[in-house]
Amino acid sequence: MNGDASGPPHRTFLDATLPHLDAIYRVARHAAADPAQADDLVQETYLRAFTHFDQHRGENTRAWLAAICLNVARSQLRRAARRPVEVPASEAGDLAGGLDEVAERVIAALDRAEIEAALARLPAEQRYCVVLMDVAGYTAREAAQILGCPRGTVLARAHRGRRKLARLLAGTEACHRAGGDYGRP
Amino acid sequence: MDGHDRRLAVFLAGDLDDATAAGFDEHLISCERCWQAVREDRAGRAAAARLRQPAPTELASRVRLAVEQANGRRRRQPARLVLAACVLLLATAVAAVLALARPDWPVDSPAIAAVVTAAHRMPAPSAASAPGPAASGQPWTVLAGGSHLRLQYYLLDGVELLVVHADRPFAMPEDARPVAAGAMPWALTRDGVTLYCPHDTMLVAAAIPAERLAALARQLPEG
Repeated sequence: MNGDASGPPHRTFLDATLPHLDAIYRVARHAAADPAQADDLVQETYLRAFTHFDQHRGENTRAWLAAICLNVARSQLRRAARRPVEVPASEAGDLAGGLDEVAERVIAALDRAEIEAALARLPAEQRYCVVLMDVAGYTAREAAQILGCPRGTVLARAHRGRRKLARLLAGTEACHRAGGDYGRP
Repeated sequence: MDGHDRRLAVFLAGDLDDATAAGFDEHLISCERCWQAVREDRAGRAAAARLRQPAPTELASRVRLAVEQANGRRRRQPARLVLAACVLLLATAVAAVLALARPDWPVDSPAIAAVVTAAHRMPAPSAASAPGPAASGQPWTVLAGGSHLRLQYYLLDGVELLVVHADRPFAMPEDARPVAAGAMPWALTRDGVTLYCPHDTMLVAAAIPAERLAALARQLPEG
């Protein structure tokens, strides 16, 4: 892609990548070991992308950047030997019952910090799928490309991650259960 | 994830065709488990979507600056490489010049150096005269490195020789070699002149091979 580009290479790079800054920031915010380091992760992602820009063929720059961001985040996590505390599958599954509309309203009232804390507790493969698709706005196909796994796997992991996230958030507040089929088709 | 959940994930992704999706809608009315899964999926997705926030306004400037700085470093890198190559080339050239300028023998003691200098000033051999060594000119004395050297030119078998006697032993230079295996006398060559040391306070110099010089030196008078 970049052999055809005219002008200084960094200008071409910035023109191609800066429009995706919001998406990369959203990915970085939930992939970083510490959300406060999201800005650093974004900068490192862009610098690494700039270094390898001549190898990028120009196909889906947004997905290419997200893949770099996740790789950098994984490396940093490994170096820091710090991983968010993940919820064992049994713990989220043991939450009694499912959601009702009161729980849904409670979730809607939660602030971002509580949602972020719950999201950080998801297993990494589920968290990456939820972040890519629901937070950063990537399609399942793009997420599959970024994560290097089949699209069906991404859909299944995102589904499990969303359900676990909802249950964790419902358990965050004392929910008074109320019956009803709010929203049922 | 069982088949139920897998079908649910496909339904939620909108991958089912219209007829199948309509059938799944009907299924949700009667299947509490699937309905619960759908609600949880939607609630989780809605919660995650609330985390969609734009990047901080200053982040774009920070990234732009970092990339521009990286670009500057990248541009300077070839110049630094060229500079390093030039320095290396210069160092190699200097080393080569020094190696060429350096004599291929160790630095001699003042006494040896004085003998070599005197040997280069040796007069051309005159016509052959009577057999045996014949002194050429007058002897003279030189003080070199604390040694008193007495020098005298001789003509022997048509060869001009320089004979040197010292009041101190000549130190054997590093590159000197014994004339015969295991023998004390040694010889070396300096700038076309052969020096032969039959014993530690005598040196004979001439522009002839060491073996012939040794043979001529045997005919010279002692001390």
